[in-house]
Order: sequence, then C-alpha cells, then structure tokens
Amino acid sequence: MSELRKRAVDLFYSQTMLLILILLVVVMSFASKGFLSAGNLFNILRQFSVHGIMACGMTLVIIGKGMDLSAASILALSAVANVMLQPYGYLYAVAGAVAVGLACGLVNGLLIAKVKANFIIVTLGTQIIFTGIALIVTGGRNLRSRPEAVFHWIGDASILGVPVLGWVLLVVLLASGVLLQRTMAGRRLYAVGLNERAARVSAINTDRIILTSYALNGLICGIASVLLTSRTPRIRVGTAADYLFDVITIVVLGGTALSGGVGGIYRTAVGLLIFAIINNGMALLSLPYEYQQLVKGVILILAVLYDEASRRRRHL
Amino acid sequence: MAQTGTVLEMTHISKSFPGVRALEDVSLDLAAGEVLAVVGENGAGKSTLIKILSGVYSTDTGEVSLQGRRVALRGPKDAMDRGINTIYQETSLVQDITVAENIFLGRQPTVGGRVDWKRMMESARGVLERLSINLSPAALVSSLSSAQQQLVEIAKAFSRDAKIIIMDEPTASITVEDAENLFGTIRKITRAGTAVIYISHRLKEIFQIADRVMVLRDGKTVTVAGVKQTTEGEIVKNMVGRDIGNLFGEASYGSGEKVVLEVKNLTRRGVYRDISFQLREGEILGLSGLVGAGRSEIVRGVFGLDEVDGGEVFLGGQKLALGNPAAALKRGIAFVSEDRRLESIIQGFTVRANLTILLLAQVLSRLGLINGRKESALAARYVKEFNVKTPSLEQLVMNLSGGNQQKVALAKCLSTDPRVLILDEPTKGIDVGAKKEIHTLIKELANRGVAILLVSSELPEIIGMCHRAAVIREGALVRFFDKDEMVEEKLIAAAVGHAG
Amino acid sequence: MKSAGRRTLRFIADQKLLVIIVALIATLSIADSNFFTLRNFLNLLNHITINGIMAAGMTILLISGSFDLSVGSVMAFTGIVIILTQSLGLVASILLGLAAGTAVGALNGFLVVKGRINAFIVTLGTMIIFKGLGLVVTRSHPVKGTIPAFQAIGQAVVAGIPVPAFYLLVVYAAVWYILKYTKFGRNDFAIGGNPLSSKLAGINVDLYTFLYFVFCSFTAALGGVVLTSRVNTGSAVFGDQTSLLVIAAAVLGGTSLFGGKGTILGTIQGVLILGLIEKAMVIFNVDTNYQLLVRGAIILAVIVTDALTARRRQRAVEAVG
Repeated sequence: MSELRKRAVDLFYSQTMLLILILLVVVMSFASKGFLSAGNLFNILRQFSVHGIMACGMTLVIIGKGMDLSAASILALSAVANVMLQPYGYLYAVAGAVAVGLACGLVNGLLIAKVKANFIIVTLGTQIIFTGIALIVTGGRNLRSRPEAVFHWIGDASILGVPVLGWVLLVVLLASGVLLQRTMAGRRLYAVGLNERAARVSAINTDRIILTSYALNGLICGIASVLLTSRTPRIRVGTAADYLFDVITIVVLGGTALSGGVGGIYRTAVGLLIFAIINNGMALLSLPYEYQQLVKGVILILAVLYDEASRRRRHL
Repeated sequence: MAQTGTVLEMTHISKSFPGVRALEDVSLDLAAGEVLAVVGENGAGKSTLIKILSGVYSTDTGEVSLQGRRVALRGPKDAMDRGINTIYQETSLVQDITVAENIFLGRQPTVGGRVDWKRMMESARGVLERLSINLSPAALVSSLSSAQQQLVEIAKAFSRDAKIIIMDEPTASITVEDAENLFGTIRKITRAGTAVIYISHRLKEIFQIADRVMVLRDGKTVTVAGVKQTTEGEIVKNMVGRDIGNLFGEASYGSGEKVVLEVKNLTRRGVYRDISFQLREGEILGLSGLVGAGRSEIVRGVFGLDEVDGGEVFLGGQKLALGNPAAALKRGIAFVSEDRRLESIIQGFTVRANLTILLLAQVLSRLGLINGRKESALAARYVKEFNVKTPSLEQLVMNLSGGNQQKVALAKCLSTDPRVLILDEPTKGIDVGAKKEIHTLIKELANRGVAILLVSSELPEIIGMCHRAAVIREGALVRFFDKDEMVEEKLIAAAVGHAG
Repeated sequence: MKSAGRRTLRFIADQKLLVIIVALIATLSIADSNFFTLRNFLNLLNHITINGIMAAGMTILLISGSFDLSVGSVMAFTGIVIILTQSLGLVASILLGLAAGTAVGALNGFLVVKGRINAFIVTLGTMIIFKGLGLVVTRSHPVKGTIPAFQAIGQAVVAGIPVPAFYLLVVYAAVWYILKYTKFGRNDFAIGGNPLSSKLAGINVDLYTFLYFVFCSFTAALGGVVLTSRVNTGSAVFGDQTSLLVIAAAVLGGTSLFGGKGTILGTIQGVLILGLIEKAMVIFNVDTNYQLLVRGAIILAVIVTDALTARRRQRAVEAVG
C-alpha cells in the first residue's frame, strides 16, 4: 500500500502544475462565459506568443543553473534593430533582429562562462547596457513598425484557423524541446546544471555549454522580437521591461528548477498556459492594472517558494 | 594521582555505518597535560574517533566522560563549549581579520559597550608569548603561512581554556622548522595542563612529542603503550598483521610486455614531485600510501583534472596533452573518481542517462538526434553486464546503494573502451558482496589487456589485486614492490617512512 | 618615527581610489571653470547623499556575504508611505515611512535566514513586490507632498552647507564606528569570512544576518526620506537602477561581493567616484541614453573586476595552505 501511495504522491508533485492548469480551465469556463470561445483562446495565444518564445530561451539558461535578467532588454534591442532595418527589406529586418539577439547573448555568455562573474550582476549590468544602446539608437523616441505586408501576415493572419503567431510559438517550443531532450548538447546542459564538477570529470566542456545556453537565449529573444514588432506596430523601449518577470514566472511556475538540471519545455509550456489563463482571467474580470501587477508579483513569489520546496523534497 | 589527572575517558566505544564497523569496543583515557598519539593505517578508525570526540558523530555504544563526569556531546559547538577543540588541516580561521580577533572570535573584550582593541591586542600578545608563538597579534591571518595559522588556532583554543586539543595530521604540509615551533608550542600548552590527542603517521615525530601511543587497526585498539616502552618497528607491526586469507581468489594472469602508459617526472608544486612509472598492458599497478600522500592528486593530474606543474605523460608512446580530460578520454584513458557524490556520477541523473553520457554519439538516429530506444537498449546492456541492481533504468542514481552507484560509474567509464583505467578508491564504502564483484571485474579487465592504475588505501586490496605496487609518501614515490615482495608490514613501513 | 612616516606614505600610495578621485576632479575643473568652487562641491555632496547613505548600509550587508537588490524599491516605497500618511502629521508620517522601509529588511532577513532561500531570489522578489505595491497604492501616479516643512529635511541649508551633507557625515561616522568598535560590526567580518567558524565560536550567525538585512533596508528608508523630501513627491518609479548603483559603489570601494572584507572609507570613495562620473557626463553634455550605457558599463566592470580578484585571492589561499 505504501509503495502505491508513494507513487501517487510523486505523481501528484510532478504533475501538480498540470492539475492546476486543468483546474484553472474548468474554473475559468464557469466564471466567464466568453472564456472557452475560439476567439478568446486564439487571442490568448496571440497575446502570449512572445512570452512563450522567450520562456523557451529562459528555460535553457535556467536548466544550466543560470538566469538571464537582460532578456527583456535583448528583446527591446532586437526589436529596435528589426524596425530600423525594415526599410531595407523584411529579410534583412528579421536577420538583423536575430543577429542582434545572438550577439547580446554571446556577450552575456562570455562574461558568465569565461570570466566567471556572477550571472545575476552580469545580466543586470548588460540589461542596463542593452537598454541604453536601444535608447541611444532610437533617441528615446517610439518606433513605428512599417506596415509591411509580411509583418501584417505574421501578426494577424491565421493558418488552418490558428494564428501564425501560435504556429511560430509551436515551432520554437518543439525545437527547444527537441534540443533539450534529444541532442547531446541538451543532455550535457542538464549534466552541467545538475553537477558542474561531475560534468567536467565526464569531459564535458562546461564553459562552452553555458556560453551556448546564453547565446541561444539571445537568439531566441531575437526571434521573439520579430513577433513583437509584427504584433504591436508601436514599440517603446520601456514596455519590454515587463516581459522579464513574466517570463521568469512562467518558467518557474512550470516546474523548471532554479537550481538547475531539472525541468524542460513541456513544463514551461504548462507554466505558460497557466500564466496566460490567469492574465486573461484578470483582463476578463476588468481588474485594474496595478492589481494585476500585484497579482503577478505574488504569483512569482509563490512559484519561487514552490520551487524551493520541491528542491528540498528532491534533496538535491 | 591518576584519577584526578584524568581529563577524558572513552569506554567501550563502538560506531557502525551501513556496511562497515568503524570502531569496535575502543577505550582510551587521557590525562591532563599528556600527549597521546593515535596511529593507524587508512580506515583504521582514527577519523571516526576524532569525529566522535568533536561531537560530529554520536556513539552506538559506550560512554565518554570528561573529568570524571559522563557526557553526551550534542554537536561540534557543544564539544567546543566543553573544552574539546579540534584542529583540522583545513583552517578554520577568518582570513581577512587579525590574529587577535581570531583568537577572540565571538568574545571580543569590551569596555563601556565598545570593543576594546587595546585589551584585545594585549591579551592576544600575552597568549602568543606564553605559547612561544612568534607572531604579531595585529597581523592579518591571510598573510600567514598555513603553519603559522595552525599555531594561531592552537592559541585560540588555548585561550578558550581548552582541556583537550585534538590535532589531525598537523605536520602534514609544514617544514621541519615549523614542526619544531609547533612542538615547542605543544610543550607549552601541555605544561599548562591541556591534553593533546595527536593523530599522525610520522613515527619519528610521535617519538619526539608524544607521551603515549595508541595503535588502531580495523576499528579496534591494538595497543596503548608509553613511548619509552615501544619502538617504531613494533608500532608498524601493530598497524598491520591481519590475516588476509584468500579474499581475492585467483590471481590474474601476468601482465603483457607493451608499455601503455608512461609517466615521467610528474610534479605539482607543494603536492608531489618527480613521479615516474610505467604501466603495461594488462597490468594492475597499485598506488599505496597514507591519506594525503598525494596519490589521488597524481592520478588526477595524469587524467587532466588537476593542474600539473611539470613532467610528461605518454600514452602508447605518444605524448598526452595534460590538463584536458576530454583529450585523455578520447585517447583512451578513463578515470573513476573516489568522490561518488560529487564527481564520478551525476546523482540527479537516471541510471540510463549516467551510463550513456559518454556514449551519446553511438545512440543517435539518422537525424542526429538521440534515439530513445537505442539509448535504453545500450543502458540495459550495461546494467546486465555489470549486474547493477536497480528497479528500472529510470531510477535516479542517487537512490542506488553505494555499490551499485560504483558499478554505474565503472560501466560509464568502460563504455568508452579505454586502454588505461584509473581507479581512485573503487571499493571505498561498499558492501562486501559488491566489493567482490568489482574486484572480479577489475581482474577480468586486466586479463583483457586493459592497463589499470589502482589507488587504494586498503592494503589487502593492493596485495590481492596488483601485479606491482608503488608506495607514495608525502608526494614522493618511495619504492616499487613486486608481487612477491608485497607484505603489509613492508608497505606500511614504506608509507610511514620507517626504514626496514 | 621614520617608520610611521613611511607607513603613512605607503598608505597614501595605496589609495588608488583617491588617485582616481583627484584625477576626475582635476579633469572636470579644467573642463568646466565653475567646477572647482565651494558651491559646486556642496552641490555634488548633495547629489551623492542619497546613494551614499544607502551604500553605507549596503556595505555592512555585503561584508556579511549577502546582498540586497530591493533597496531601490524600499527607497521609493518609504517615500510613498510618508507622503500618503502626511495627514497624520509630519513626524508620524516620517516614522511610518521608516518603519515600512525597515520592515522590508526584516522580511528579507527572515526569508533568507529562516526560509533559507538565497538572498538573490528573496531580494529580487521583494524588489518586485514593493514596487508593485507602490504602484497599486499610488495608482501609478506620483503623489505630491502636502506639508511644506517636510521639504526642509532634504532641501534646507545651514551655514551655506546643505543639510543632507550632515546626514551623510553622521551615517558614515556611525557606520565607521559600528564596523570598528561594536561586536555587531566585528562579527560582520567574521560571518562573511567564515560563517562556520563563527557559528562554532558562538556567534549567532542567523540573528546577525537578519539584523544586517534590517540595517541595510533602514539606510534605504533613510535615503527614501531624503529623496522624497527633496522632490516633495512619492513615486513608485524611483529607484529602478539604484540598487545596482549602490552595490557597485560599495564594490568599487573595496567591499567584495563575496564577503569578509570592506571599509566604509572605501565605500564613500566609491560613491564619490560614481557621483563624479555622473557629474562629468552632465558637464560633457552626454546624451541621457549614453549615460545609461556608461552606468551599465561601469557596474559590469566593477563586478567583473571583483570576480577576478576574488578568484586570485582564492587561489592564493590554496597555494599557501
């Protein structure tokens, strides 16, 4: 009996978030009539596609036992690059955004992996620098994304009824999921996050793995910025800041451990859905902005406490 | 009178851990102002004894009495409060403050609510002078050598009215001159009534400083004798002298002729120097010696995990780039660390993931992605071959027993089909059954031609498994032993520096 | 007598920070003819007061081996509480504000010590929470103060010297005394240098760590009082980068992020250098956005240098031992 009970408890803990998600969906569909409508659901998808993509990148970094606090500023800077290159053609705009994101990620990665400075302060510092560069380049003005047909398509169109944004999110989710679970690099990333010393003894180049995780996160933020500029034609550098805490909340909520080595894209996806539904719910209930922020802050704290409790349970 | 002078009495102390009896019915008494040396080879129980006295472990049976009153030590702080201070090799001082502040850590003298620096310096100077320690109380601890820091620790303990000071290998890495200073200080504190328990393997020093000597072997007390009533030779004899019997079964075949690994003048400043040896195909070369002699560091230097300051390593005649574990692995050297918790396997990974971590390239599908089925099949094969007892491949390795964890670590290393296998204490802390399995495995590997470097602190293991043994003492390779020369007494004698 | 002289000379030569300060002052005096005036220096002093006061508290926390990212939010939150409770009277509102700010420190300390959650997560969390709380309470609009006398705290001038300069002096004198002459201060170094040994020596590491967090937030609250009185406004957007700048000032001044060492004299120099750089950027008409960049670059440079020096120290210890 106790073996069965132990298994049940384990299952409960490992699938807690999924259960919460299901619960949320049930509650929301009763609380608000419009919730389960296709329009609303696709709206949620569109609204949180950027978050979702960034969460994939953040998941990579967190599994490697780090965190990138400059992610939102990378998003902003890449978006700036995107808009500024739009006059030259959409291909350049996309390539530019992704390249800028990658470059920022590399800066983070080099400082953290090679110089071995504290990742918290480094990414807080690069956040200021990237934001600064963005502000300088835009002169503090708002940017207007050009009403190019391609971007309209990305932002507004649907394929098979599902918004294009949703498809992009799905692709990124799948790609990062495969990267983590099914590539040698992904396996090594888990090893480094769990036990860097042992990873080194197993001849894993820990520096390179960590560097790669930050670089990839930058790249993914670059991709997210393309979606951002196609969704919201007007970009203000300041708006990007909100994304950071939202993204961290999503990843931690999903169950990827801040202590590294545990978690994955599946969990992040669950976290994304929970977060999105709660936000959607607050909007449907017309909660004032400040209260929404407060709720989000509380969710983050709870998510962190939950993560801490799970860590103790795992004895890692 | 013996009774009033007795400061410590330990009677019938036993302590066991899962799978091993660390101490069995050990008794000792300690008089005020006396220096009791405790000797024994690795695993004899010395460190368990210290840990019990310093409050880290509790006892299974037996009593500890301090000055005639029975006590149950509730932890390291409790032990310290009762006057038992332990000085380990790793310093416990605060580096960036002064000597005086360290001596009075947590109990700075105050005057009118504020810290009285003048009095602190004066008192500290007083203590230092009383113990003939030639240091300034205003010196920053970070500017002192480790020998000097050790003296400060003694001063700190003494000024806290320590009744007993336990010193664990205090002269391990200090010069002869510093050792003389240390002895001078020890003499001063014993004259003041503090008793000292002195753990060391340097027999010559023991005869210089100790009053009595206690020899432990396999967790039991062998003898306790006054220093004047015994000799070095007798102590060495008492340290060994067990009947190995036939624990190791068939000897392995003789080794091949081809030299697979050659180490020349490997040196690491302050740790080991001029280590040279050759390892042949199918040979098991044991590295014997006492803990701290540098054996682990040597093999880690060969594999590339730790830095090396000089010397060369040749694998199959070709020079090996040092400091690069990935290169070593690729060239065919595998290494099983002695630290299972932190190094040889990844505790948070599943059995499957640990087994395949070095071999992922072999389980890729056509797309270059990890093929789950291939991976599990490979892992299952290893589990079967190495007889790893696990409920499933997905079991987290941290939930396996020590022996099975070690098998996973071994299997993982062997998965790369190495030419040279370095094993650092492969059977430490493992139950008898698993030990035997691992020994059999090692012998099979040697028979298959794998060259094996075996670091072990268990003499029976060295004698039973190895074709040859090299004894390391304090960073130097003292001598080689051929199979027929390997006798426990001689190995120990070489390890402690006792001439024949 | 000769050796004392030589020692002072060596002391002066070791003062790299002082050299930088002198160099900065010299450069700025050449660039701006108005710079080298008493009035300007007093102005400068005024400017660095807030960060300076906060850096003093941060120094104590850093020495113990922790750090606090929430000081910026605490500063803003304190101001908001003061303004919103001014109807209760000047003194009452100030006390409430200080209490609120200090309470955050207690929360931080409790979560770190008892909850055993690491300082980064905790203070990041409180930073978010109290910024959010500030936004909620003010409905995202800055609130204006209603008691004219309140402004005197931050804006008064006595004998030609702005009053905040006195606060700075008092705080630094106090922290200097604490670090040198109280057990609270000396144990700070012990805990930061070797927490295990400190515990064994009988120092109540948990209690002291808790108190260091409280103290750090207290100085942040003080900074909030001065800031709010100076602009007579409470707003939740104040203090976004303050935490990092305060930490950077202390680290620049020689207090290591890794704990165990630091001096209040170094911290004030760090604060001064950062203040001079800000002033320099204004004098040279540097675009506000570039200013942001420079700030970020300095923070990074300071942190990276600290990380590199700490590693060298660590290796030196291993070589000796």
